[in-house]
Amino acid sequence: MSQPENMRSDDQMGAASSAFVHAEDIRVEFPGSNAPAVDGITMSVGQGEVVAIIGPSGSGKSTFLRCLNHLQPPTSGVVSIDGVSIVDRPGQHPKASELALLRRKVGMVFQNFNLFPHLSALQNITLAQVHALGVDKKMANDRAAELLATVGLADRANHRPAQCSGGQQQRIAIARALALDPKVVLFDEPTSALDPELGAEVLSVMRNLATSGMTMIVVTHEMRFAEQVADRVVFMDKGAIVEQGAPAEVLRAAQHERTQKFLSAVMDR
Amino acid sequence: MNVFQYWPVLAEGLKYTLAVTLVAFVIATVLAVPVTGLRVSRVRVLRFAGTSFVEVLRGVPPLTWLFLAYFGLPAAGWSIEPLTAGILVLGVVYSSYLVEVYRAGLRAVPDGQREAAHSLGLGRRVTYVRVIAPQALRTILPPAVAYLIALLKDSALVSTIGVLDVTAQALSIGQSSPNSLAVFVSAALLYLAFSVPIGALARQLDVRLRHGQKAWA
Repeated sequence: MSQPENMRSDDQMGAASSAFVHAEDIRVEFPGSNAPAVDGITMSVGQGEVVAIIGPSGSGKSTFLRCLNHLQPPTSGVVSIDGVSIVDRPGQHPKASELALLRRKVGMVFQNFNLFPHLSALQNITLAQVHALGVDKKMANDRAAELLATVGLADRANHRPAQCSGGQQQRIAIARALALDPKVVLFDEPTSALDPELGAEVLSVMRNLATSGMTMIVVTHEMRFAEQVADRVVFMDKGAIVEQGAPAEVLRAAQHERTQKFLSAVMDR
Repeated sequence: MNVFQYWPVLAEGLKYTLAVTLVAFVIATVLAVPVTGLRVSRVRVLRFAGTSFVEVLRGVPPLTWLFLAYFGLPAAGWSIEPLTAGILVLGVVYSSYLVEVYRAGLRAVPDGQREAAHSLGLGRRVTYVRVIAPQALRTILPPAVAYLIALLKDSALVSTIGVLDVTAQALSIGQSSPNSLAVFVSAALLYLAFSVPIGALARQLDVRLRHGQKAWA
């Protein structure tokens, strides 16, 4: 029964370049819950690949994504990104210095933006450059201005997040994530807190980013985006990968009943 | 009755009242920082130490602490000046109140802020100083100012151990004066001259800061 999905994922791995991001047997168990939130997921993502992770609420997709930069420490598993490997075992977790190395390679965009409300758009983008990378202030400012321009917000540099629309805030958050020159950017439902029109601004910035060759892993409910922009769609349920493959295969010709059921509920909207 | 004729004497006391209030408040605000660190620590022993500090200090009347320090410490071979005892005791006792204010301020900062800082590779210190503290400050400020007023009023306790503050001065002339009412009314007005404006300031801060997100604009 698991035959088709294995074949597909093998195909896919062959198509992508070497495993740039690799997660091995990631498991997350929350105390007091009898089913694991993430139940032994193994996934490889090639450099420049765009992966969309879809699935019902509570399927563990956000939890898995957060394991990749260790915002959620896995109960066990290995995460490797561009040569940095982080190993978790029950009761044995990596040191902060190791995590800092991993996190330097990973940018993250959150559902609720999580911009720093007391700082201007520009300062939001310069903060980590100055305090995590040690870039000097002038260079950080230049870089931030350039990034704001690429997300179409050059005129918002000195505005506080509260003075910007939700779509603008999320674009600032993307610029903030890019300021550290990450090797991969994780998106955790980046448009779920936005109305469709504002969501579209954000998706267009993400499209450009994908075109520029950025490696992206996107947890999303935006099926059109997944279909048009992703190289691979992964369907998750109950903490495991049910099915994955090229967008057209998964979204239009799903093999598994669970996937079909989920898609029939969301695709018609 | 002429309220104003007693003011020169009371003004003498005002120096002590203000000195006790301000120095004790500075001690309280500073000391509360590391104790809050203990109070919210992930290490159980440290957290227990922080919680004990707060519970023990809050659980005894400030006047009792004052007597304990001023009369108790010399008995243990540690002589202490009245002014020093007053300032230290009020400073330490008020730090225990402020720990809870600081803790509430930290808790009011959404988790997403810490996550964003971590995801950007910011270390713990930078995260606290640049991200968490400035946001917590907005929650902390109004109740902290309210405690400043409470401290101004509690500073009168030092009159019981011989510090010649406003209340002590009022007592010394009011006891033997035919106009004791005027003396104590004057003393009360002197406290109000400080507590009312500070209270107004606190309310303004509160109103401005309570607008949440809008206040950041």
